[in-house]
Amino acid sequence: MRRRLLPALALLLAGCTIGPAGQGGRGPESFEQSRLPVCEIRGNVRVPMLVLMAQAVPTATQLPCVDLNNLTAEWSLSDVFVRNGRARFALDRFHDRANHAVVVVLERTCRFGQVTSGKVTRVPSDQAGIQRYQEVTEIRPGQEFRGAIYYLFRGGCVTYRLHFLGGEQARPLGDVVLMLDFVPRERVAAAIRQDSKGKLSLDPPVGR
Amino acid sequence: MEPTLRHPPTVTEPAPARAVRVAPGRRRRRPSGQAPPLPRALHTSGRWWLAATGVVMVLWIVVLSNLPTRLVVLDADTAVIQKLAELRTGMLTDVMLAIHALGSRWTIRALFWATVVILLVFRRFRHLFVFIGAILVLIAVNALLVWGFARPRPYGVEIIGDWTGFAHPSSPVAVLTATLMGMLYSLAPQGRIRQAGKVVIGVVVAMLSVALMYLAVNSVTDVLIGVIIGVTIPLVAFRMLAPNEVFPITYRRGGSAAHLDIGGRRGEAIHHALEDQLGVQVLEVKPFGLSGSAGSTPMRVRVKGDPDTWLFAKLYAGSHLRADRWYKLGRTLLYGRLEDEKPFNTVRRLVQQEDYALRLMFGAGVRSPEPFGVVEITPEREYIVVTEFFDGAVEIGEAEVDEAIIDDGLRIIRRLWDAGLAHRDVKPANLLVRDGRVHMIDVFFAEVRPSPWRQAVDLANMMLVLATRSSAQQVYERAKLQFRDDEIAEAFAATRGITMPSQLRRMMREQGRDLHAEFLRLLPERPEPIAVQHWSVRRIGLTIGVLLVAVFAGLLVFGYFRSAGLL
Repeated sequence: MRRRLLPALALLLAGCTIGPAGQGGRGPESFEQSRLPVCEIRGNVRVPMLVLMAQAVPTATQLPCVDLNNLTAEWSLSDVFVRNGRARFALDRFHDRANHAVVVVLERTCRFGQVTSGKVTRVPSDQAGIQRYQEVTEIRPGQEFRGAIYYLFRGGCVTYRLHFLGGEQARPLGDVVLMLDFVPRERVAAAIRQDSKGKLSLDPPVGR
Repeated sequence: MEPTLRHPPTVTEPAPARAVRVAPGRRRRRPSGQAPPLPRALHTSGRWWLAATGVVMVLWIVVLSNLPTRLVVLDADTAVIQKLAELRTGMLTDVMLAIHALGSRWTIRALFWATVVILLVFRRFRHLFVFIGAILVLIAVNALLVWGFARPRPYGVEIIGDWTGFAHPSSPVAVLTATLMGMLYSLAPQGRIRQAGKVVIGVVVAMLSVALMYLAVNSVTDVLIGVIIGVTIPLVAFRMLAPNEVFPITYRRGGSAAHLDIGGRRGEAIHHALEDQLGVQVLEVKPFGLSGSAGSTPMRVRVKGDPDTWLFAKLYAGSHLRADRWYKLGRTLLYGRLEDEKPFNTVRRLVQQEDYALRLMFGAGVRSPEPFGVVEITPEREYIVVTEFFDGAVEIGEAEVDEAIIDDGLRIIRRLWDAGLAHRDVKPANLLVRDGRVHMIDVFFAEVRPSPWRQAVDLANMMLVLATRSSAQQVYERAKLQFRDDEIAEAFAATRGITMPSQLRRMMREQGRDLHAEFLRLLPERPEPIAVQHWSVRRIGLTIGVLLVAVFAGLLVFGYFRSAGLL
């Protein structure tokens, strides 16, 4: 009986859209996407994983996410892990799944040089209102690139830990900058309020 | 039973008169459609639990799939959590954070591995596998539900406890509940202790649930669903796979995992089945000789007679069938094909073999227990083989062994040889002495037309057993009266190490005597040892296959334990 019950349950779960009606997705694809840190699903930013990341770092005013429109077939999302104080996910390249090419970490504060030991320099940011720092730890031409990008904003910090194997280094870096984006916390909070007709709020009222 | 006074039964001869005087009762044939003595209804309650939980889960999924109903649930959950948050004080928060540790990975690991160790120490492997399986299934199902529901933590309130991943169902509650339930059903005997344990679990889980809600880590429905699956999965697993009626938890000494409980419902079923199917009047059924039996549950049955007398009975069940399979696989891997290592397919066939062997021995004039037949307890699952009980007999290891006994023991082997049979388990525990005569019991392994090697091993083991209570010289001299020198030499060429039952080896070790070497010295010529190890493509393939399966299973379990957070 259990053998029949479990697949039935999984099918039922997959068939139902447990996510918000506003996100529009009804198929298994959006069901799965809503469990990933994607920036939006059919225009709605109330993605369960984004909400969870916002709860993990309640001070963070920006939330890192993957822009599905720019996610090419060469890349895939993995190792999504969220706990209080920290959220993490990885991007793997198709031909090098054993190595996480990019590990994205959201925390309250940055840890410059803690994981790597290169020199951290401030560079012009590609995100409005967010400071960007860059660190190159190791370059072995034609073989390996190690480094990090730090995005610093009010209440939080996002680190991209980069580790590219192989000859190409510039193109994957360009892909990363295109694929990864930020959603303002306020947009997620507004979506929750709107979907619940004002009954629910992401954060506690000020002072509580 | 005197071998010299009996003749193999023939068609024209009447069956030999029973040695035991049993008062006849009324036999009753079970009509078609009527339940057997112990119906296999043990799965029913487990299935109901599973079905009820399935219905709850389906309804819950439907409720959460629908936006208006989901909002109602979320609203109610949020209201409760916000009310609890209003009660927060510094001291209360410290207390709740301490209680929150009950659901931590380290608590679960400590409880899980402590239970595994206890079950290993008490060799309760059935409960061990069900416990581990139930916890792993629970973790997998919980992970599936957490991923499926993808519900964030409570809204609109500051979360002040540690958490990981989505909230629904509550993983700490589900895993702690399941671990405690598994511990209860695998460690606590049924009765007052288990009932009290349920109350304790209820209190512990309630404390954790309140703490999680107070800290805003989970909402009400998160912990409720966590409790439901945490209770259901181990409960159903134990009720279906290790029901108390079949695998009761006791801490008595002197038994083994092979022994089934013959009290309660099964005891009543045995009583009625013996009366209905054998036509005897049962007065008492008691466990008997548990320490000497690992492959069945032996018992003694007192029946009405003139005077009241005892019968011997062995209860066989599926667990014994599996034990027999593992035993034979182990022997095949260790030694190759010693002989007839084919496992039985069903319990019925296993008892048929025992009953057949008993009748064969009895018919061949070997002084063995008279068979009374097979009794069905649960069709295809549990049967009893009933035989004569040698009342007043003592094991040969504790008896005075004189020349008459030596001759008698050797005569049994001679008779087996003449009848083309081998006993295959000649050891002190299977040779009883009563009224100056040797009786042979436990004929389960008996084989028809065995190889000469197998027959030779029987002779050597009989001589060794007899010599443990006398001397090799004396036994050898008496053996020469019934066997030729070359036959005795062949026996000791065939026998060494593993072909001697472990009880016999242990006795010789305790006596500090190498009787095998003593016999070899007495022989006119030292024989060339006959190889015991048999190598074949099948054995090599089987060994490699088993090793691969073991390594693969080990890696799988290790990986799964790690991902489940149990390592």
